[in-house]
Amino acid sequence: MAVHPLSSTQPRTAASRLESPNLAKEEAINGRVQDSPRGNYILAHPKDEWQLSGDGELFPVLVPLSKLPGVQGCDRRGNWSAAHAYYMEQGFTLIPHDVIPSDYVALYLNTKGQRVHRSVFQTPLDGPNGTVWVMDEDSWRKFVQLLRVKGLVKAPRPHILRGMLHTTRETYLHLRPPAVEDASRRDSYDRQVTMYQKQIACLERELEGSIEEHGEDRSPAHNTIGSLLDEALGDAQADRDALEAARTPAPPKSVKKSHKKKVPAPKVEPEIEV
Amino acid sequence: MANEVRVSTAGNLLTTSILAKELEVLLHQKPFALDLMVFRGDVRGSGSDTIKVRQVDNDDIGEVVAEGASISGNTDITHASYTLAPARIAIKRTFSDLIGIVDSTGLVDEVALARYNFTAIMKGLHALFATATQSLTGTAGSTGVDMSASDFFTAQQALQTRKAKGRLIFHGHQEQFNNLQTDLRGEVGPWQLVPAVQEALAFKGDDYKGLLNGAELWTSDQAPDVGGGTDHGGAMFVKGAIAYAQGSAKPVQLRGRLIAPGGVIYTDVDYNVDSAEESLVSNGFFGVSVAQAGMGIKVITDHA
Repeated sequence: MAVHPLSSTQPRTAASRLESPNLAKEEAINGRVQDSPRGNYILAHPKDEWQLSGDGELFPVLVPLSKLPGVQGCDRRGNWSAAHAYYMEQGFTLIPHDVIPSDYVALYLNTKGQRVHRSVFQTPLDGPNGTVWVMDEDSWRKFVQLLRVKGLVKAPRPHILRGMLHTTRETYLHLRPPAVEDASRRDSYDRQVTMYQKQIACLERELEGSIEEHGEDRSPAHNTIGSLLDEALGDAQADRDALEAARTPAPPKSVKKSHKKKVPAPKVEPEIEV
Repeated sequence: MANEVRVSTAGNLLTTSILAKELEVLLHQKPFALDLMVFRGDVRGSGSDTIKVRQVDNDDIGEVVAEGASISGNTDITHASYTLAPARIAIKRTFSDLIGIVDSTGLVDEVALARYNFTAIMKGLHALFATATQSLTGTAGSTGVDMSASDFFTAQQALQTRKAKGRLIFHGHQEQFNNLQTDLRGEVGPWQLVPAVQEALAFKGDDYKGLLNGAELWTSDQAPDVGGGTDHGGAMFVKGAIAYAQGSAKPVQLRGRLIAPGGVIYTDVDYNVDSAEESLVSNGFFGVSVAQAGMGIKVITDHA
């Protein structure tokens, strides 16, 4: 996989694992394509960003971050340590190029001899208006699964999934059937309804799994505050019971009815717990 | 911004003067990519090839303090920074005298090629800008699903919640716009697309698609692939989320009082009498960075 030509002159830094694994291999050109030039990049997972598919599957967001000179502080020689520091500070998890042996970026040249960096999951095919890139969805799924198993992408925590669930439910509830009855619009509406139902079901499932895995999201003070509150609540309850018992007069003793003159019941002093 | 032409030899000064006049027109047209970013300076004569920009937090709230009490502490004025490092974007064209002689298009001449080079450099800058949008915070849209009005609205709501104020811009791939347009056919009421009129197109270029719910819509084939190629990576942001800096060349003095002007984008012309070939190399120095990641959101939707 090719880095910018200037970058190969740079000494390897602490982030060397994030560079391409093999410079000789970097120059391997996969063929000619009819496409505009595209710069080299590194895949990254922004913290806590997940996306649903139309089939109701949860995917980590994986974006290409540029390693080209001029972007995010990557200097004129292609040294991207400033960019690297910025991405780390922003909570991105950078995916090393050697996470799979062949690298996940493939290099092509276009018909004008410029470099075109594409993902290895895309296959170039000749189309009527230039190269058409066909995506290998199954391999991509496996790749994402690999990242999760390797621990490069951590499973989402419950509060992230709750947020997504809330947004998805809101959108679902606000779906409106087409104002004008039309077969294609109705079809589109029906597809959206099905999609959101699948997405909600997926999120509910994932949330359940996440709670099992991580437990409920709670503040660090949760246990301390909880036990203090339990104690305070117990005390308050006991005080209230005692007060109520003091206010309530004792029930009068049952007296057999007789024709004798009624004798007033003696006054009973309420027992007050001290 | 300036856009000038220099020559490498005094013999090409005639070419220089012609090109300089012709290219002056481009000075007055703010290219699309530059219009969507905020300008943060020129490294020319600064002694450094980078610009470090410190961010001021203007969202601080003053503390209510009882009489005689001290305030709890110092509130920092700056809270973040980012770096802009201009790098070279260049393109070279070479053509022989024979090509010039037989040319039937009228395009193989210095003037036309210099103008093309200008556009090519702007597209290169645009590619940097488009990739930078993918480090904005948050994601709207579903992977593998066409862009919909809901995605657009979700992105807009997210920015409203974050108090992102200013000129609202959506930048995405043409396919994303096509899908959005298709979905909007089902929308009724005030939330409708106001397509770009001829006047706007003349002023902003044909990448400007119109206005939707207060957001400008721009498209470009430079929008990167996301998710290994499953999706297109668009973004919605307010102007100020992404910044750029430039490095403009100093004028060069040639042979006494002959001065070749400098500029942000300049073209060197060289004629090789031996091979009867003329070369034009145009250069521009630009650096692009996300300035405020929270002032924008990615919109990631199906590729095709």
